[in-house]
Amino acid sequence: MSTSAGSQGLLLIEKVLLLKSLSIFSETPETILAELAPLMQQEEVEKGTQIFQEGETGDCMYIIFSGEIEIHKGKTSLAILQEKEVFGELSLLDAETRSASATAKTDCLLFKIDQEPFYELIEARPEVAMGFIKILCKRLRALNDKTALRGS
Amino acid sequence: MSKKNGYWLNALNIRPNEWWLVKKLFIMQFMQGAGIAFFFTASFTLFLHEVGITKLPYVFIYASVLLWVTGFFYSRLEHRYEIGKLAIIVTVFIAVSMLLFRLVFAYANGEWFLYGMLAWFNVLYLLNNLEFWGLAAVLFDVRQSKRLFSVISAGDIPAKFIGYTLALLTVEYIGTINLLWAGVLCMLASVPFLISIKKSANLLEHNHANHGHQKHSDHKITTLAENFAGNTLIRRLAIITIIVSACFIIINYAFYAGIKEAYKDDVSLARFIALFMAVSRIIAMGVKTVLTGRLISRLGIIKSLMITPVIMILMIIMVLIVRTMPGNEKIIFYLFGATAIAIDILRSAISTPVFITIMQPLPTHERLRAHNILKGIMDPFASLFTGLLLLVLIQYQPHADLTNIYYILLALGILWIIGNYRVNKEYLKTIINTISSNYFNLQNFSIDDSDTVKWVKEKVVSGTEMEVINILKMLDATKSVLFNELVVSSLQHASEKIKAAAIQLIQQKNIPVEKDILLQVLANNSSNVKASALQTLCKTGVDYQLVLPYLNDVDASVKAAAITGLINYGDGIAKETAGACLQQLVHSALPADRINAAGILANLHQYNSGWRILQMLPEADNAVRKAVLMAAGKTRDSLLLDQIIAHLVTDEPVALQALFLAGENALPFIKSTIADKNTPQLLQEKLIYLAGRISGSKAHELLIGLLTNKKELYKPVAKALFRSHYSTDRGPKFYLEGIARELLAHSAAIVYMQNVLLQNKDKYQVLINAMQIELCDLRDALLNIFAVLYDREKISKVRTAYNTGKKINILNALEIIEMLVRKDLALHFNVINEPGEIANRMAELHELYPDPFFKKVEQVLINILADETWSYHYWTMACSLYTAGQQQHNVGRTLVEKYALAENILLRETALFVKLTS
Repeated sequence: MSTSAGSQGLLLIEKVLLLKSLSIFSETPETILAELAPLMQQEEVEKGTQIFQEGETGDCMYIIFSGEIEIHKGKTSLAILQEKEVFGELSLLDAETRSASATAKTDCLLFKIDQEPFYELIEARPEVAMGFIKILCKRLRALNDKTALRGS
Repeated sequence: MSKKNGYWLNALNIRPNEWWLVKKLFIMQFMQGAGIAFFFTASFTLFLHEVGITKLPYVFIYASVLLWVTGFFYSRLEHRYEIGKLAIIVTVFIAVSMLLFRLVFAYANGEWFLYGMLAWFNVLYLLNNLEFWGLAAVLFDVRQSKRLFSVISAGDIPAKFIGYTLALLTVEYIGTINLLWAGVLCMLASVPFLISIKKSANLLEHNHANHGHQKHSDHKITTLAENFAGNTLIRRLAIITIIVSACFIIINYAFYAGIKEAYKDDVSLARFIALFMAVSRIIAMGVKTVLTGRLISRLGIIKSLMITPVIMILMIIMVLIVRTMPGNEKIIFYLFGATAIAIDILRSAISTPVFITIMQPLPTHERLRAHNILKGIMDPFASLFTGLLLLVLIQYQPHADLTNIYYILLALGILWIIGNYRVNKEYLKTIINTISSNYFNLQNFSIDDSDTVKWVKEKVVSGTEMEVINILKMLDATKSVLFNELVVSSLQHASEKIKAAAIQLIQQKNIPVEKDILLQVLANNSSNVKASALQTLCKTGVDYQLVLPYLNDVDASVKAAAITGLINYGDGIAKETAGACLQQLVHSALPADRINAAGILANLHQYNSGWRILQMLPEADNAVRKAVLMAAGKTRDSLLLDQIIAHLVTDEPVALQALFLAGENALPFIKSTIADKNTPQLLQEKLIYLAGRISGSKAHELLIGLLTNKKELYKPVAKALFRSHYSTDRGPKFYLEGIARELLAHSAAIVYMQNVLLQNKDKYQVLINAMQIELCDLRDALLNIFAVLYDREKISKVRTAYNTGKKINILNALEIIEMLVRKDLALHFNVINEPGEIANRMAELHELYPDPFFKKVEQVLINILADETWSYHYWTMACSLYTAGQQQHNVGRTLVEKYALAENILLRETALFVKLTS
């Protein structure tokens, strides 16, 4: 995506396009994402910085705009996440503890969405919640299919 | 594609992406049609000449047996081979059988060979039909089938025309039987096209043989018969097929009987048959290729189906009238000839393609079965039935008096029309069921015998909570005489929940209860039950001394019930005491007391509670303010409603709830707030939905008015009308159809804009997507309007179909639109909202909206940004600005400046970005 990003950051419209390019929001209409985009806060993270630790109570989700993030349990690496991937997304909806730690593997540019303003947005624009419910339903169905496949 | 090609495709109603397949199928059918024509001319001429017309009924009977056997084997093979492969096998088989007839002819003596040959023609005709339509049915969806079946099936008409013309010209020189050589060559020539279709089209996706997971393993006629019995649409189609085939056979028989009388020698007979066939085929081709597809699209299923039987009936009536005048034998002969030609043409040009279209909403495997049943079982039935009927007629009227035949045809024509209505009815049902089969029907419930009454009475006292609640619900729904008695009995149930529910019912429905029972409830139960019991007790005019102690109850709900009950129904002292208690609560320092006071004030009748609530309103505590606003809503007092509106800015959710409680009284306030230019768009939308929730004639009047005065709010207004279960009477119907037309024209404009942007898809993808969202919103608004105009439940199925995103569901949904919605609106809606590439729909759109207006991207961008009639999403406008900035399109400084001051942050930021970068 060619963007106007620089030291000033992305335009709101570019943030919407970034959200749309993420697999979890790929089927959410841009009109709804346009409501979500203003909640995205830019965070520059240096290599080696711990974003959150396993066991912490989560209250935000992250979107990787550039760089790599390692998800790990202690010293065991679980996944390396790259550009246009998200982590901690369920924390937008509930405040459960983080199941693993996240550390920047390279210098990263992240976008963070906090739970509280997200709740406020849902209150004002229920269609945002509907968009999220659809995403969750889709995931649940995929999981059910997977379980059924394993069972058979 | 050249302009010339485009013109022809447009004329034939074919879209560019369908052309290659239609072309191949057309040529294939052309070859096979010619082959069959050669075989028919040879076998029929030889039969008429050597055997005679009166023996023709026997051929029908023999053919029926052969057709059954063929249908049986075909259905076995259909389960074994995929449809493309089967079509090749069948074609080769037809060619080989023709070759064998030619070779054996030299050695065969006697009439049996000619009987066999003519009966075999029916088999070849059936196989060709099964193979061709089976192939077409899986290659095209329901919408395509409406447009294309007539065109592709027209291929056999020029073929037959050429076949019959060649027969006409050559029969004298080469001899009739040698026409079979030409037949063999034509059949074999179609095989390469079949192979090509098999290779390129995605037949495996629809393959009948591959439906391994579905249970239809046995290939017996019984399975087909089960299907016949199980599926109403197939059954009705099957019955009509018999009627249609019988009419066709009888008319032809009568006509050929006339020909045989008129042409005595075999050459003139063969020439007449060939000429007759050639002429009728060429007319049929004209009708089929140019008219049929459009006719079905424009007229719809039922009217298209009616054309053939109505024309047949009219022509037979004409024959009967002419017969009453003496010396008109020749006119009768020509009239009957014209009837035979007309029915032949209409059957192949309209009835058959429409029948196949009707089967399209069925699941693939069922559709193929339906096809087999219709062709493989019902055609033979028709053949047998007609054969026997004609034999009986010939026996009683050997001199070919056709009077009875005319009356039989009239009767069959009437049955045909009735059958058409029944098929059309079932077609709509099938489409709806295809989209969703989860239908829920409430069963009637009645209690009349003494045992059941006894059982129910016991259950409401001793049953589980769920049982009692269900029993009470059902009795209420069925307006049972036992209802009141059993509600009171349920107060004796051990469960607090049941008691609370029973008390509530007693209050709501003013059910008379003995005071002793209420006092018993009051003495023993939870605060919830107590509170309800107290209010009911006050209503019954009990000694108020019994209620006074509860004014000091520690439980707030019990206290509130006592105050409310005594103020509303009590006498002097009791009422005064309760009023003093209420005042204490209003002025209490405790928020909980003030909340309780607000709740009480909301439920008081004739107590001038409005001004008391008004006094409470400047309230700092959020929870108390919320309770007071809700109480204000409940009172429906106009003074308080003004206050609620004023609180929309600070307490939006509560204020909206309060306005809802105020019901119709709130509507004038809602209306003026929506009209206020300073009201934010989001709040306007919420107020519109609120008006919809309030519902009623005044709310509907408000919403309908907004459709005219505030067109930019059409989306929430249409949704609110739908949600409020609005249905139109005559006046608004006309008006709403006008609104729908405007929305359709706006939708068409969006498609035109998308088309301009699509010429450079990569550059404008963001805006194309935004326009798609606009189009979806318009579609949704139109569906809401259609739902209130026509059939709410069925239109909801259309919406569900779109939500699934599956093409097959959407195509079936468009069929529902076509059947329910006014013709012109449905046509426009379907052209605009049909799934698939926009480029493929442009030709049809140009017919409906000839002036494209948008030619350049700048025009599109300016149109979006400057439009003040229709509101686009902020997102769409931001995308337009962004595209203008990124792609260096000049949209004018004024527009950019305008949006640089916009309230919406997305718009403002994007406009500022464009301003800075341009």
